[in-house]
Amino acid sequence: MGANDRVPPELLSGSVDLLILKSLAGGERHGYAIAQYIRASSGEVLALGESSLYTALQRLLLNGWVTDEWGASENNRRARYYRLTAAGRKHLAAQTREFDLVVTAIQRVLRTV
Amino acid sequence: MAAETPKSDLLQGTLDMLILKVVALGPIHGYAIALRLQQMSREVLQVQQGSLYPALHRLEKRRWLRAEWAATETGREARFYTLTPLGRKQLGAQRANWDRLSAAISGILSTAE
Amino acid sequence: MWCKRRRDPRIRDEIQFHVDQLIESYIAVGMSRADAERRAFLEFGNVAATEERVKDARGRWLEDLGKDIRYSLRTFSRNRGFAAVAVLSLALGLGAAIAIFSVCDAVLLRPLPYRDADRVVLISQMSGGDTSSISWLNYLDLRDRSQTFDSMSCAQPVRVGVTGLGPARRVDGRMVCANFFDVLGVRLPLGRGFRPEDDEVGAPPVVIVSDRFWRTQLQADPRALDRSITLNGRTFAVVGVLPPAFQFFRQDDVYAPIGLSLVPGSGWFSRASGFGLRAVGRLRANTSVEQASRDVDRIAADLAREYPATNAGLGGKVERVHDALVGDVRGTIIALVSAVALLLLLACVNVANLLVGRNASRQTELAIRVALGCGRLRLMRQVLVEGLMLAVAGGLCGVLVATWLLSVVVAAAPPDVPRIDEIGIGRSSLALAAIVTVACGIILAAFSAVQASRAREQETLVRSGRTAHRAARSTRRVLMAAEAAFAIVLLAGGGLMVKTMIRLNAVDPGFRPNHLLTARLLLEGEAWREPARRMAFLDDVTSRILAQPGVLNVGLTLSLPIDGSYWDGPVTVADKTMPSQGDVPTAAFVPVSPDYFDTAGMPMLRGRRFDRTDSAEAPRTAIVNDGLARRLWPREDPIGKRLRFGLPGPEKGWEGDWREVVGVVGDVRLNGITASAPPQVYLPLAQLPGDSVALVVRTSSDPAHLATAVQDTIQHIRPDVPVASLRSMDDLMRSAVAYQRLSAIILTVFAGVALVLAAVGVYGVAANAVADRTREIGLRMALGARPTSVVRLIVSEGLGTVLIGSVVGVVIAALGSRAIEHLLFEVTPYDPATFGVVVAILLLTTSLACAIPARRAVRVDPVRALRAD
Repeated sequence: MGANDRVPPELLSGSVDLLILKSLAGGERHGYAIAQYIRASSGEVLALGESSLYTALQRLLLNGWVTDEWGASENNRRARYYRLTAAGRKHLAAQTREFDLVVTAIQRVLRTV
Repeated sequence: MAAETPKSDLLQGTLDMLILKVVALGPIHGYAIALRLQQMSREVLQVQQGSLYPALHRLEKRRWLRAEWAATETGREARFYTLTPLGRKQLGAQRANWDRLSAAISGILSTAE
Repeated sequence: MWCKRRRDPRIRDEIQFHVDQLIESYIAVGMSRADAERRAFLEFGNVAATEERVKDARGRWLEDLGKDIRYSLRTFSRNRGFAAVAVLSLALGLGAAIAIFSVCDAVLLRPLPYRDADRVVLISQMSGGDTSSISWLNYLDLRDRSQTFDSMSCAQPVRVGVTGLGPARRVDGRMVCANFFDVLGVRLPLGRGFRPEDDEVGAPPVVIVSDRFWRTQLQADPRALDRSITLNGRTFAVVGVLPPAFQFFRQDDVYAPIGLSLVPGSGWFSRASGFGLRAVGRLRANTSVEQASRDVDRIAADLAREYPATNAGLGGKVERVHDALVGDVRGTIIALVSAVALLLLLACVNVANLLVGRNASRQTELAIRVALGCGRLRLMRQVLVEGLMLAVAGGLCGVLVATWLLSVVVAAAPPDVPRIDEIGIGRSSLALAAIVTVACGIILAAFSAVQASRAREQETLVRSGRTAHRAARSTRRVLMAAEAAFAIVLLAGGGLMVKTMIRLNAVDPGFRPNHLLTARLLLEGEAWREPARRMAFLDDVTSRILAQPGVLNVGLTLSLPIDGSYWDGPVTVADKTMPSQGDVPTAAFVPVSPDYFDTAGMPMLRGRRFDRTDSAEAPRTAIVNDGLARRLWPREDPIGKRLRFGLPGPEKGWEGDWREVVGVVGDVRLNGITASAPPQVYLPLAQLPGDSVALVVRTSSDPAHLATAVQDTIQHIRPDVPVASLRSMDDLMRSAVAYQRLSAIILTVFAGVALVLAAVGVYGVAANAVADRTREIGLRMALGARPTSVVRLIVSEGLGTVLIGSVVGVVIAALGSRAIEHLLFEVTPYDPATFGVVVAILLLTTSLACAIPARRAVRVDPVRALRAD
């Protein structure tokens, strides 16, 4: 089936923002840790590419849903840390509901016989 | 920069699959596909015609759908789509992929902080 | 109609249906139609845009193709020089190929119009390595004893005078055995074939005529079978008309039963004489020519034992009629086909060379198109379309070139080329043209595509195509060397033929051929039975023509020089022990009138000419040529010696009286221009006036002007005497070397085209190299290099490549020139002088082609050159 076995890119890209926001809900993380979190908590199903991760972060910064700050990493390297803002937390809650709604709708269509 | 809504992206990413699914239920024309999707998803999924028809023809070209002009119950001629064996296989593959991905994303989103 | 409807997706209808459904749904909930429509269109959005997006999703093959074609046309029109040269190259190559193939098809490939033509064979008699005609009695034995033939027949070529249908004419005809047309498997569209009783002695004379004769002489009369025609003064009833395509070795017009010739007691019933008779046979099914040959050899050996006096040393030869027919021209045509294949290859290489250059300078453009999202496949298709368009344009122009070339070939071709009248651009030629054209297009496109695929988006954009140029340059050098090699081969072929023609023109034929008009008179039939009457008529003709203004002299002869048709046979010398039978000298016997030698311009070396005293009743005399005199009497005076025709011994054959040698003339070439003069014995025409006599008229101006006067004079005396082959001796000489001439013309044209193509290729490479190195050249100039040294540098670079190609070409040419060895005359296939000249011509031409862009480069202002990218 070739290309169609892969994840449809749109499917993931629609939820990238959501997944990043969710990963920051428990506290600040740097970019690498965000990617690690998504990978680990999805059981290795979701792998976020660097470029889509950082473009998404830029978008989230511009929208004021996250803020950034330079700090020291666990191994004492300088790293850029991202933190969820209040607006971001609200956006996350709203979009999660919306996401659930759509996924439920799609599941409903798929389950129709 | 437009805010990303998971709804439009998710729909775009799953449109092919949804169309294949609806057509799998029986021969059907484009208008009815849009209508069925709307009904089955309880008005959550609204397909834009500007995406629906290019998608239908793309799927026809890939030989996942077959198209034929036939009369509707009101006696008008409409272009009816039916699923090909190739399309059925494709639907299965896409659905499995969707299940895997949506489960992974939903899993992350539903974890408590 | 149905198919089209089915395939047409009717996108607009589908969208319209959707919109209508929307409208209905809004009306159903209580909206007014107007509101519903507004609402529906609002909801649906831009209908036209959706339609376009659907079309995009389906892919627009045809529209894209149209776009590709338009795009190609635009790039071609921007780069007219490239397009013109490419199309012209292909047109020349393809045109030449189509023309030569048309010749090859008509002459070599098309089967003869017989049933199962490959089973029809010609059976000849072999004596001492030469084919000769077969005697009637030998034929009968062969027919009755052979075991490998379904049937066998025989035919004898004749020339007959036709009277009573307009002016008297001589036509080619054939005396055949009754079953002749059955053996060949020919069905007559009108009338019947011959019956066995037609062959019997004393049967009423019947004739079957050719389609051409029926149309031109009998006005395509459907009731021709009720008519009779007069042949050689005898009345023949027409019993059949042959199909238009029928021919047997030549276009004969009349066929009569051979029984008419079989007069008891005549020479027909001697095994020694064949009178041009050839046997044809139809092989048994699944019998090979080799099996038939063994069969015939066996019979020949038996006959040699039974009739040692006449049949000793005779063998048989069996070959397919088709092979026998094309035997002479096969070699020539194969040589031409090879040459044309090479020319086509050269044309393709030349266009490939141009394409590389163009693609290199287009690299940036292609890269931009790729970067802009033009799919690689689309790009490949674009390149393919371009290649095919060039090839198709070349092919179409090629058909025009072929038409012209064919008219040249047919005009220059010797008339004895088999089936020359069938040569033309037929269906098979056009089919081949289409195939070769498309093949060329695809090869060029593939080549171009490989080049274009080097358009690596980013890299190329960054480096602005300079590396691409360098890569292309090495490819072009290889192509240039290949062009040089091919050009050398074709130039060598042309050069060898030109040298052959020069040598042929330099041959001294032994007489003065210019200002000589020739014709042949046929004096056959009852009215001319008396030799004295024939002689009286010929004397009358001679004196009347001599009285015409512009006529200097008139002579008569049995055999014209060069013409190749003469009688020959063994000569026996009196008072001399002759060598054993196999080594008896053979000489041509030529009865001539007293004035013949002076008219032809043959020098008398010793003794006297014939004169009035050598009359029919006078003692037999002869004049020999120098060659024979030296051979027979090496250290003696030949005058006064005696000789006679025939073998030594008591048996006195035809005209076996002793003749006294009264003179010696110079050697004259009788059998074409290339064959050396055979031994010749001339005798007084009055003592042996044949029924077919050639007239030779020396004129003070162009002999063509007197042709009508000569014909009128003869017709005035006897309207029923056919005058044939009225033409100048120059004409006859030309047709004697027609194959060489034709090959020389074609190969020289090919060589010229090859030279031009090679020059164009080299010019392109040099111009490109110069353009790439503008900076370097500017730098050298700025540093004080002299223009001449810069030009020399560039020219020497180009010449190096050409030289390598030339060496390869010389090797190929030396190996390949054996193919035209049979056409060469006094030139070896590896003539060093020719090869040297040819290489020099190529080097000179290509250095000119290199020098032009180089000179342009050195004229550029160094400052500007340095700024160039």
